[in-house]
Amino acid sequence: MFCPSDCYVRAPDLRIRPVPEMGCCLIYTPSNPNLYTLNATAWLILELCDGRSGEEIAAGFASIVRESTGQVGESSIFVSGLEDLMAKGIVTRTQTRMPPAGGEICSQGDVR
Amino acid sequence: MQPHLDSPPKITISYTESCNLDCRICYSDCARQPKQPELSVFEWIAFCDYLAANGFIQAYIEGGEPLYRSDFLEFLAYAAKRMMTIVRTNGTLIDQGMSRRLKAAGVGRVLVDLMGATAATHEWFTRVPGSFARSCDAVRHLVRAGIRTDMLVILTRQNAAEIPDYLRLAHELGAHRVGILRLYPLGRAKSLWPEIALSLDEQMAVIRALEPPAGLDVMQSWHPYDHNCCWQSAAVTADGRSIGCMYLREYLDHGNIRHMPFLDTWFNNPLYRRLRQADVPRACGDCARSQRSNGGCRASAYAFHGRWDAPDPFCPEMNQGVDIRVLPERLLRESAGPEDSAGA
Repeated sequence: MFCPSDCYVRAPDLRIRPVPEMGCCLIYTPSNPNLYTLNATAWLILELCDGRSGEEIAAGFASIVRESTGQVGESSIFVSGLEDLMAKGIVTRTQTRMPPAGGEICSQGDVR
Repeated sequence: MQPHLDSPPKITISYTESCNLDCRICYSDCARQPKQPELSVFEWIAFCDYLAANGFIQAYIEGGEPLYRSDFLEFLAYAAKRMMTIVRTNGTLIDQGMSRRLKAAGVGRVLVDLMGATAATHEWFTRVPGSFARSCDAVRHLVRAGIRTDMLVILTRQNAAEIPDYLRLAHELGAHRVGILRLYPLGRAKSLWPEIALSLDEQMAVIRALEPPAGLDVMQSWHPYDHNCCWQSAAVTADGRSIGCMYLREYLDHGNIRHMPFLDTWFNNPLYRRLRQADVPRACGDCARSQRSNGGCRASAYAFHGRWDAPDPFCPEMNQGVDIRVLPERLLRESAGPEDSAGA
């Protein structure tokens, strides 16, 4: 369950592979080996989970959605997206604010 | 319509072209010993580092039989820390202990080839008595070890009538998914083609009749799911050749990773670039819409037409009267080896 006062971070051992050409991001979770494809909404939520509180992440999500689409982002989409990332082991909850756990972002090789 | 990738996130690796079975239709014409000097485990590990540093996040590992090489688990454990690993195997070397070692190595998914729903059919293909029971046991062991496990079957005249039983068998063994694969005219399958190949109508009838048990997923790539996956394909053979896709192994050589960085072949080889563009004049609208790619499989199209922009005859909408039970003479002549595509 989402809790606004809890803090959220990326799982420590993730490998993250943005595929901007396809508008998605691939995530590998080595501790429970699986490959996930995140759509742009889930990718944005993941980017915001850098140790901030749930309340701050929700506000950041709403702000970016408003700036990029001119619409009000539905909080239910944010909450279900964050809970889905937690269920997959991509994001973890902490009781206290933490520095970003990271997750290694893969480069895409030489772009020529 | 055609997707575009600046660089590939996924790759297929043929870890070895040696095997402990003697399959009549082996695409790699495998024997107990590899025909070519293969990459050592140290070379594969160095390549894995290269892949990880260049944005690859999934490796699909096949053979031959990967587990037939004694150093395979060392490579797998190294790769699985860095990327999702999928291992295709005949399963005969997987007992309870091996399934636990695969789990400990961090494998993401295992695909077990079973060529029929009965020992008689499977072992007609493998020519090794007892291989059916060992492969079935492998599926059970893998599932019990907590590894997501698929079963793969190549659709042929010998097993077509068994496909409903095959789906039930997969469900009973606990497999998560079944992949029904088309037959390719490669390796030893070419010489046996008239005996094993079904007409397209016969294949479509099997596909239309599929009724998987609840909870069992089925993958298949016939109409309207015939995709041209060259846009994302990256593959390297056991001796280091970059070939785009394993089904192109007899047709192409984009360069060897022993002599050049893999991405040089991706970026610079003209034919590799052309195949990723999927500039084909004729496509099936239904398949293009569902797969977001045009023209169907390039390996099948090239095999039957000898042109890279030809339509895929395995789709009824693109078949154009091709009888896929009959191979072109060109394929049956002694192979001159893959084409060096650098100057294409």
